[in-house]
Amino acid sequence: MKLIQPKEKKHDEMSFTGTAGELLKHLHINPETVIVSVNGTIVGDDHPIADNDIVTIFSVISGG
Amino acid sequence: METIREHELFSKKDRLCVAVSGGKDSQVLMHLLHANGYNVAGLLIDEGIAGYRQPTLQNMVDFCEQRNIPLTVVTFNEDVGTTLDAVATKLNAPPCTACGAWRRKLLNKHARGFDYVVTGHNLDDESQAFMMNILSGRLEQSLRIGIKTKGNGFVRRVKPLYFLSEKDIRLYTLFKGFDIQEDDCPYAKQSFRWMVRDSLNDIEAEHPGAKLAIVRRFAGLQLDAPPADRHACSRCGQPSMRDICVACSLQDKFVNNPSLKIIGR
Repeated sequence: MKLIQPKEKKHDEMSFTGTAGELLKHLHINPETVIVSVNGTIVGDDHPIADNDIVTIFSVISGG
Repeated sequence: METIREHELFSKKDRLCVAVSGGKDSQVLMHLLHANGYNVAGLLIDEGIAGYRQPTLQNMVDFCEQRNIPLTVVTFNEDVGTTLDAVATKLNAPPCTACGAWRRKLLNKHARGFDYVVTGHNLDDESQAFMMNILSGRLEQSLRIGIKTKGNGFVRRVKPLYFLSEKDIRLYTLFKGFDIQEDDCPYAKQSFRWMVRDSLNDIEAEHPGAKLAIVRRFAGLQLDAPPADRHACSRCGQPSMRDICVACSLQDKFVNNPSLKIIGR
């Protein structure tokens, strides 16, 4: 899958099987602090991620 | 909109000065108020933080121009006599204290003539403020803030996003396609708030609803709290709990006497 983190300006390719929530856990990201989109659609924690998906993790926190 | 009605924050007859930064909270706030027919004007304070404020400032200028909303931009440099960057290198503490005090002062000064100052404080901001006050032993301070202040010499402040989480607000910006600057203030990570924010997010992830519970509990207590004992600052005339307000003290120490360093918070 392709992983995009706009705030961190990161684009990565990685292999992962599981749900969006499990991906956040794997990346040590608190789900309270982000919104996950898969192929352009915002999804919940239980959404499954396939190998050819484009996953974007938007940060919720910005500013001061 | 429900919060505005339920808590009788203001009406469509009131002149609203919307304090904006250009970030997600102020864009959503300004959009919702303007789209629902409220009488709004924006006020943006440029603190002078190189590389950080300029993009959000431009976002807000564009946002207001597209909607024909009046926007006033004021700067620390003109109003205080320095930029935050210039002060930050001389402080022995996180610059957030000076930034907050000067922002409040400028906001009160430039909002004169309006019925209300409307800010984009959200559920996360408020729950963090309450926790910070508790952890600093200043519980009474939390009783004097809230969804609608009593005024006490200032233009009254209201917070329509009070019960909306930072996550809900960010979600709204994604649905609406707003151009959001995702960067953090370069000084924010030095602040106590940053630590409290992380802790509260950890708690919320394990105990959903914790932030709302904190804010709802304090909102109830604030209704019965007596107003703060304020009098006019002898320098600027704005309401203060001291003879010279914090903003003027910091300005005296730094801008008027740059050889002195500000020690502590």
